[in-house]
Amino acid sequence: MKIKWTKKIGTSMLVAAMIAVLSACGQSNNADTASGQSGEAKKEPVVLSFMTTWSENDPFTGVYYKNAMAFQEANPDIKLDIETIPYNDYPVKLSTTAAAGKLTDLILMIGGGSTFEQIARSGALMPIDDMMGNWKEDFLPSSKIKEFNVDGKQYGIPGEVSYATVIFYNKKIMKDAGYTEFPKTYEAFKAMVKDLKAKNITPIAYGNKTGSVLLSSLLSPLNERISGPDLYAKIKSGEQKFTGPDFINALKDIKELSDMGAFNVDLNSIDNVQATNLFLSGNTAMYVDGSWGVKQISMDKAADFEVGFAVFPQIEEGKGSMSTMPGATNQGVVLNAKLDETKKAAAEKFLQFMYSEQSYQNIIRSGNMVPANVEAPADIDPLFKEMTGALADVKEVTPVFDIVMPATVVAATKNGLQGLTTPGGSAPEAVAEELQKELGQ
Amino acid sequence: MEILLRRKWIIAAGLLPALLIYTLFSVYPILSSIYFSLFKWDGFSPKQWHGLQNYVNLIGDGVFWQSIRNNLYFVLFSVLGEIPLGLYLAIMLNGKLFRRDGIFRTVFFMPVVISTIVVSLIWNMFYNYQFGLVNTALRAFGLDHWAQNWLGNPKLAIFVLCIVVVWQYTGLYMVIFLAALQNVPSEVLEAAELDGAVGFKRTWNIVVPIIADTIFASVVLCISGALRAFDLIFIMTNGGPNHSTEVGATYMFAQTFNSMKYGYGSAISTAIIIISFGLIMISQFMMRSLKR
Repeated sequence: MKIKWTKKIGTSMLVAAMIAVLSACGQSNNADTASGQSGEAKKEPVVLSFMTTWSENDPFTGVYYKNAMAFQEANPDIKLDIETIPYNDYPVKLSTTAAAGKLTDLILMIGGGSTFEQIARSGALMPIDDMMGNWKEDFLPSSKIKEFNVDGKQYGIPGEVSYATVIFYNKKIMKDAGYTEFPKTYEAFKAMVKDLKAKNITPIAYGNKTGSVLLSSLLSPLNERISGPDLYAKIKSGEQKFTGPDFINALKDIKELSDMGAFNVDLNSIDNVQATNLFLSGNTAMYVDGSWGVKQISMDKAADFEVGFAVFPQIEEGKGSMSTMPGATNQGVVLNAKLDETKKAAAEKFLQFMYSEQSYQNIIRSGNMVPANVEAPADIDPLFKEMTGALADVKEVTPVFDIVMPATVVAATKNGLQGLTTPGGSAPEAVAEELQKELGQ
Repeated sequence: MEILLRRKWIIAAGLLPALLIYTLFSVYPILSSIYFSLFKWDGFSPKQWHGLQNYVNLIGDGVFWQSIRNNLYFVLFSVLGEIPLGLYLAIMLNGKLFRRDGIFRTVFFMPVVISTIVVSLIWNMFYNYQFGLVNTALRAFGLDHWAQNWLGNPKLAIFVLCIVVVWQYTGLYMVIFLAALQNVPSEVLEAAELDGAVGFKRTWNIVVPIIADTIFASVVLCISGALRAFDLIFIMTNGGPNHSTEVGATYMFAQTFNSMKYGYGSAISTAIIIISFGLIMISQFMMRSLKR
């Protein structure tokens, strides 16, 4: 794992300085494949089975579903046989079908990381290096698709870029409490949390029932701010330990926040949808989640509810910086290694369509940042625009915890963080030791 | 009887399809699970022979014992909650007051037929800290300090779940007992009444012994049901926070599919089989001695 993880996320897509040069095949001739039906017998369409989480009415994946439907519309000779699995169950379904050797022709990879790498290394997936000519470097920089590259082979292309932590805050509550500027340092942030608490306002809403939110939206940025970008790689290589001071300090910070009452009491029994509603109903000053949280907020907020966006503050004596943010690239479609030539050709067409300029623009429209350099369409959600503006200074993306660490460690960390944030729960040292033990196994 | 014996092979042939299906879908997976439990395996890479190491780790695994303890809470609450309550309701509904009234029967039986997912979601709303019915009611009576984070408190959460389980399954045992009660001959009851056994006395001394067999069968059902508990917990708390509501089945699931330890997960499921079998045996033994 000696890959340098840092990546440059340019915000050029917003600056719109790039006019993407699309090769002729980037927008393959979708329109006229339906010709030549008269006279000859109708060919059987190629059927591609596809396991995914995409569904039409889901705010997070609806756009991909619609793009896929548009692809079918344009290519009557290819039929997608879609099997939709709920997001929370998807990792289990993915690993079990992969273990059983029963993967579909096309498989959605929600993100890169240890499970994906394991499946790729087992030889179950088909590298797409011979198709990569369809995407020019200046349209899709290779630095931004690294998470879907294993051992030098590209397996898929991500549809979106997300940051693990955005602090959404209720402007009105903040203003009434006397804060017009969001604190830039962690010390000031803590002081503000204490102050809000003293004024009987619940500072932060978290929905950590599944355990994943605290992991990616609090532990990951704390680790980055304290230790800089490469702590996880060092822990994995054995150079550092979970039980070392760097990691333990992050755990201590989480416990400290919990003890001072920074979170809603029931953070470990509600999910992020419920937590968003808590925030939107004016019960808390802040809501912390990944950048994807903006979609639900945009959909459900009352017209006069004013949302502010903030970047996770700086820790003064730490090695990290506010221009860096843990994040991930998501929603890549990968191919089954067993595809025959006909299916492979159809799959290539599908990838070209799904990761074309047009599709990326639709993805931006639905409130996502994308890895490709495309012009932002004029009609994007103003709230999303505001958020990307607030995040404009973020230049580097570091990998989130759950992408880097093995599944056993991730599961143990989720439970450990729930323990830290439960009254009378675990101690930071005990959690760290447990993790080190899991990593050693 | 003689005819029966001569037709043994016909009977065997009749049983064969069911036996085959049972073997294929029940016995074979159990055996393969025992086989997998001897390996260290993440589901992808080649299996590594691990011997009994998984079991050694299991014995030292605090979370596993905690999950078994939670299972035992479930068993206790189920046997001491559902069975007496079910019997009480059945006797009430079998009495003169409600005998012709189907509506109560339907109401009490309803939770059994509602899908567990729906039950879980409804009770999740009841227990919600902010807007839940339970806390809202407590606050309305000025008992604010009683309002709890019911499902997030590691000391309380498992008992809170037990209440849901009792609510969900009492109706099932009520219906079973109702059926049994309707088979109690009325002459016996009349005779008892003439001898001065009324009310509770009559129930305890006459009715309960007559339907004892049904009660025992229900207890076995109850125990095995409580040991199998999975779906309700999986949806309501997912074993959290920090394993405090983990039961054997959810822990096995989490270890196998979230942590990708197929070998260890199989060891847990084998251990659950052994423990369940032991508990059922003990309960059988106790009942036999009770019968005498």
